[in-house]
Amino acid sequence: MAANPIPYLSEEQYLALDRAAEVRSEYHEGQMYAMAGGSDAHATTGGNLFAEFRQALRGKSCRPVNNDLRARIPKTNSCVYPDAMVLCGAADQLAGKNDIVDSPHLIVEVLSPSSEKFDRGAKFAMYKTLESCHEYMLVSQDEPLVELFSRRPGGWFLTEAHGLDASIRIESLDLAIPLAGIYERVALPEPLDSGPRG
Amino acid sequence: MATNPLPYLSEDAYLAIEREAETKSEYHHGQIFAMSGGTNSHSRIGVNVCAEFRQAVRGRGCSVTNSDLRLRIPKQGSYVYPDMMISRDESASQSQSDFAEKPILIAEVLSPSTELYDRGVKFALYKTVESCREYMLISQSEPLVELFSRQPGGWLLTEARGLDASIRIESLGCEIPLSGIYENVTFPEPPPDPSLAGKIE
Repeated sequence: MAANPIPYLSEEQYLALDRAAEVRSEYHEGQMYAMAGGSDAHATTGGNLFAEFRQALRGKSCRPVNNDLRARIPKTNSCVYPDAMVLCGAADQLAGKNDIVDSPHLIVEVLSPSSEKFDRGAKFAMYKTLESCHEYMLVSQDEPLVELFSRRPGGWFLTEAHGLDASIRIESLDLAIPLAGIYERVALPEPLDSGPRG
Repeated sequence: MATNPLPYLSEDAYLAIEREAETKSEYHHGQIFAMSGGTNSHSRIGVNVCAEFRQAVRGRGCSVTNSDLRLRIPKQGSYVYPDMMISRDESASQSQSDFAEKPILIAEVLSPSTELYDRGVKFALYKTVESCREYMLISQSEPLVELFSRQPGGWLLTEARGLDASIRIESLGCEIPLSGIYENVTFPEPPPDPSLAGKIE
């Protein structure tokens, strides 16, 4: 990739490279972007989210997947690895491909300093173009805070759950996830002191 | 400010410094944060959005202020300079002359250096301002306006995209055309057409 300009990769070329690669990459507009590893807190939160969703969705038609699965966003010509997704129904595999989905019902991103701008801005813009996507959940690592954007006619409705006693309610799945579960054994930073320092 | 830890400044100390200062600074948790200058596009959009709203709310008991006016956020002990605010005249007359406390609408023009702040920390601050019914984010990279409107239990996000679109603000009963917000604003080139890929080399 040292040549300049960087060659445009087709989606097929990206998939061939990414399937053979040892580190995962996302894909936007003809370019591959290697993914950074996550922190202990990020990984623990991601695992907790999967476990909470699995518990809450047991016996229902929807199921959670972790960050091993690509989501394809055709309208923006992108492939990404969300931190977790909830898939509903049987027909969420692209024809002939078992390692891409393009119709997640819910997408979760665990916020980190390096990705928060992207998650709130460009990635949300991508996910909005996925008609299947009814819920977009952002999970803070700074404090027990979950933001949920739910698709509504004409827009998205933002609700929040704040504090370890709170739960985030997901209407379209008819369930609520307790923040105590999402943040189980996650070390949160000390709250910002608002009083005099030194 | 070279010592560490930085001294904690009281609100009064910040205001005393800020009123004398030649450049604007915001204030959070006892610290002062200097504000950078903006781009040509940022400035034009800022002026346009003020002009459009002034026209739209004329005669309705509201005033439009630009980024010269501080907003005090008591719950967080913060002072910021939003790119635009709309306040009811009665609450404006009750406030101090050089800061607002009860805006009903706040707008920020997004830029690469502030987008994360505007979408994250600043929105969290503005949510604590009970008078604030609407939070508007205006893109510089394309004709796109996002509007968060306060509703029972949360915020409704609506968008208007493209120069033929308008953004409707229910709480003010008005509609602002994006062609006005982006008048005389140029946009960066869109990414290359994928169909031309491979022909660049």
